[in-house]
Amino acid sequence: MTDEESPSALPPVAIPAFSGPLDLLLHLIRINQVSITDIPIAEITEQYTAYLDAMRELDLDVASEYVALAAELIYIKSRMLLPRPPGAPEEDPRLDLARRLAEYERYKKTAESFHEIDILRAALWPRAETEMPRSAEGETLEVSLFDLIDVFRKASDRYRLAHPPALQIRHLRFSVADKMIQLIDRLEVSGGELALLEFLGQMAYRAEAVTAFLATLELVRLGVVRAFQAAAFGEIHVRRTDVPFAPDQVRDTYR
Amino acid sequence: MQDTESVAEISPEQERPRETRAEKIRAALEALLFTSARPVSEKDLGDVLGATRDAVRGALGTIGAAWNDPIHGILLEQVAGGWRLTTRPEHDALLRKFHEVTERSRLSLAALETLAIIAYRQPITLPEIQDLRGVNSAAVIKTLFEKKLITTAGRKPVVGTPFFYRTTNEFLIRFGLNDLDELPKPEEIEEDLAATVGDPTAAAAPLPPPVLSSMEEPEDEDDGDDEDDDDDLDEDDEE
Repeated sequence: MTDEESPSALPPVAIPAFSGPLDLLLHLIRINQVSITDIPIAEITEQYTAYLDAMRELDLDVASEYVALAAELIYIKSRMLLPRPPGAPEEDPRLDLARRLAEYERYKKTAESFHEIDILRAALWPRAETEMPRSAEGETLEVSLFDLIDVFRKASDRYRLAHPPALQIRHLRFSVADKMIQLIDRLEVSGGELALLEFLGQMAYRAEAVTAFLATLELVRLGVVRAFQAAAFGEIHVRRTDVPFAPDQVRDTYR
Repeated sequence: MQDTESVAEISPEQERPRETRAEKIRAALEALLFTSARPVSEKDLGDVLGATRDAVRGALGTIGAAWNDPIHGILLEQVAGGWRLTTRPEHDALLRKFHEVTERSRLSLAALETLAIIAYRQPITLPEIQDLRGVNSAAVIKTLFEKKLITTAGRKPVVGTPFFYRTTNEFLIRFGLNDLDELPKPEEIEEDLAATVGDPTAAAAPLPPPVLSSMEEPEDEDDGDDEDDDDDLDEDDEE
C-alpha cells in the first residue's frame, strides 16, 4: 500500500500504510475503541468498505485480499441477522475472526518491537568482514540457496570463459557476382561449354549452390551465356556467347 | 597487583611468570574477538585456547566488565550463541560520517510482521504465513531470504510440498538475541498490548538496551561516588 496523503474526497483520517486487510481491520477496531472479541460488525464493515472505496479513489490497487475480508465481514453480518437453525449450537459467528485478529495483533506488536530493536542495533557496528587467508577446510558457514545459485553462476561463467565453444559456426555469405565470375572462368577453362549440373555440383553449401544458380540465370539474362539442352529432358549445358563480360563492372552491380 | 609494584627491580625473565593463566587467556580472547567479524561461541574459543569453558567465560566477563564503559569505544556483546565486539551506539553518527554510510536498509512493516510470524512459528510454510497475515507474502519472503534473515528448512509433506522457513543466525544477530528462547514470550507481548493503546509512532523511544553483554552483575561493590554517577547517568537516559 502507500502512505500518500489524499488531496480530497477522503475520510478525515489519512490512510496510513497497512500491511494487509487484517491490519486495516485492526486499525478500525482501534480508532473505534471497541474490543476484538466484540466487534460491532455492521459499523466496522461499513467503515471498512468506505476505506476500500477511498483507496480506489486514490487509484491504489485494492488487493483482492482486502475484498475477500470485506466479503467475510458481510458474511458474518448476515449470519448474525439470520435466525439460527433449530438445534444448532450457539456460536458467535465472529469468533473465528476474533481469534485470527488476536493472533495477528500479537505478531504485529512483535514486528513493532523488532522495528525498534532494529533501529537501536543499527547503531552498533560490528567488526568489518575481512577476508582471512585460510585453508579450504575448516570453516563451516551457513549457506543459503541463493549462495549456491551464486556459486553456480560464477562457476558457469568461469567455465564459459575457459572453454570457448569448440565449434564456431560462421555465417557464410556468397555473392552472385563471385559466382558469375566463377562460371565465366570455368567456361574459359573448359573451352566455352559446361554441363550446368557439373558447375552447380561443385558448390559445397546449399546457399552457395543457390547463389551459383542465380548467377547462371543472371548471365543468361544478360546474354553472356546461353543455356541449352541436346534433347528433351536431357542435360542442361551452358555456353559462352560473344557478348562481352567485364568482371569489374559485375562486382559493382551485384553484391 | 599493587603490592608487587613496590618490589621494583625484577628482571624481565622473572616478570614473565607473573602473567597469570587468566591474564593470558584474557589477552588471547581479545585478539580472537578483534579478528572475528561473526560471534564466536565459548566452545570454539575454549577449544582454540585449550581452556575450559569456565575459564573462557570468566575471562569474557572480565573483558566485558572492563569495556562496558563509555570511556571505551567498543563493547563486548553476547549474541547468536557467541561473543563479538561492536562499537558503542553513541559513535554511530561519527562512524556514518567517516565511512560515508548514508542509510541502512530498513525492513518494511510487512517484512517485520512476516519475520515475527516465522520467528515464533518456525518451521512454517508460505501458505500458513499468508493465512496468518491475510495477505500474499511471497515477495516479502523473498526479501527476507535475500537479507539472509530466513532460510528454508525442508519441505512440508502436503500437497504442493511447500518449503518450510526458519530464521537464521543472521536474524539472531540483527535483533540481538542469543538464541530463539530470548524472543519475548507471548504473554509479555500481551502485556505490552494491554499497556500501549496502540501508538506505533512511539517507536523511536529508547528501548531498554538491547541484549548487550550481560556483564554488570559482579559489580555490586558499594563504591560511593562511582555508583552515584552511574545512577545519574541511567536516570538521564530514561528521561
